[in-house]
Amino acid sequence: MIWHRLDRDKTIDMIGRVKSAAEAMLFTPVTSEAKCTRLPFLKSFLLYRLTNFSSLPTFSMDFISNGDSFYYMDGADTAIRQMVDMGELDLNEDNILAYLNFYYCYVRLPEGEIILLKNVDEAPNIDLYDTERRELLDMVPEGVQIQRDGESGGFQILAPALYDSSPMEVLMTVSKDGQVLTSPKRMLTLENLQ
Amino acid sequence: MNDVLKEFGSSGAAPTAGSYGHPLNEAIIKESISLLSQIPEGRRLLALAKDRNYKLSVISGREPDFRYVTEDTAYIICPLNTKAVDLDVMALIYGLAIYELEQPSIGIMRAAYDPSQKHILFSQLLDITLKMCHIIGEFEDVNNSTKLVDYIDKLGHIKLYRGYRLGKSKEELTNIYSVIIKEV
Repeated sequence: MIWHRLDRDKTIDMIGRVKSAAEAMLFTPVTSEAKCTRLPFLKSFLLYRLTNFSSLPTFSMDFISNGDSFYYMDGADTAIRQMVDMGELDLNEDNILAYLNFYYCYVRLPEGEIILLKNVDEAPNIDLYDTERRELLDMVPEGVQIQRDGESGGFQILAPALYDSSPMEVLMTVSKDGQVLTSPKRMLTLENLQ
Repeated sequence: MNDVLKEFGSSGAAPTAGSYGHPLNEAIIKESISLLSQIPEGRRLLALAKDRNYKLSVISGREPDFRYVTEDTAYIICPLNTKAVDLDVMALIYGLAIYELEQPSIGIMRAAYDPSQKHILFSQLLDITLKMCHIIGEFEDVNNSTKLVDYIDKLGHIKLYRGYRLGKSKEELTNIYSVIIKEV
């Protein structure tokens, strides 16, 4: 992701908009920095990140916003559903993988952690602290198959993924309104690729 | 993956208006305390939190975590959809949040955002990661569950945990942790 840092005035404005009376100590203008990046599957809303540097490790909160309304990424798909309701979500063959990378990075699922893999060799090297890798929205899995259902407008994607810590080939069904269903198909080992 | 108890299992509740507070704050804390009470270090940390009047509350967020706020206040972070979270993990995090508040009183300094304090940050993170190994080890001994061992594996610290359980020296554990940190 290419981030653009917000200037001091915009950062202060953002803190004012997202500040909660109950948790006012989370962010202060003096020790916080804000930045934003474009999400290819949203028409005009951006991803904003507010980071507090007052103590280490630093603490960040992410929001989807148009600069006016801020929707907090709370571990559920609440903000994505807001985008759907507002007609902001625009899925196509070119951005569906970015959407899935984003979805699995931000939405916690009962199945456990799911991370799309570039290839199966990557599986042993990814852990939950590897935020930078998990936020690579433009990561394209090798051999990925994408099919669009002309009738429903949804997609079916077959790709390697780390599925609750196990490398699997998974089938992802994405509806036109961004709902994701993930079905593990088979366990992957290095031998599968040879 | 989730085997949460009682009301903790409900999910998808709307966030509290004007707050990041988790709608299941009370249930998460209650269940975390109940689990921590099963192990010696958990009981020690809970007693300490009570004695020092630490303020701990749960806010919603992307993934289970904890955050120091002031010398007596910390937030536990739990995804809004609690069906995606193991209660054992939340109990571990609750215990670690208390320990992070305790750290300065036992000589573990907090690092400021300053490159010259990297060594302080390293010591602090090593110390709290070893506390994680301590708590997970006690849970493994008490209930033979590998759930938290799987979790520390996902975090990339399984070598450190195994070394800790084998009784390796602080120096050896520090070396293992250094390698892990460089890999990340």
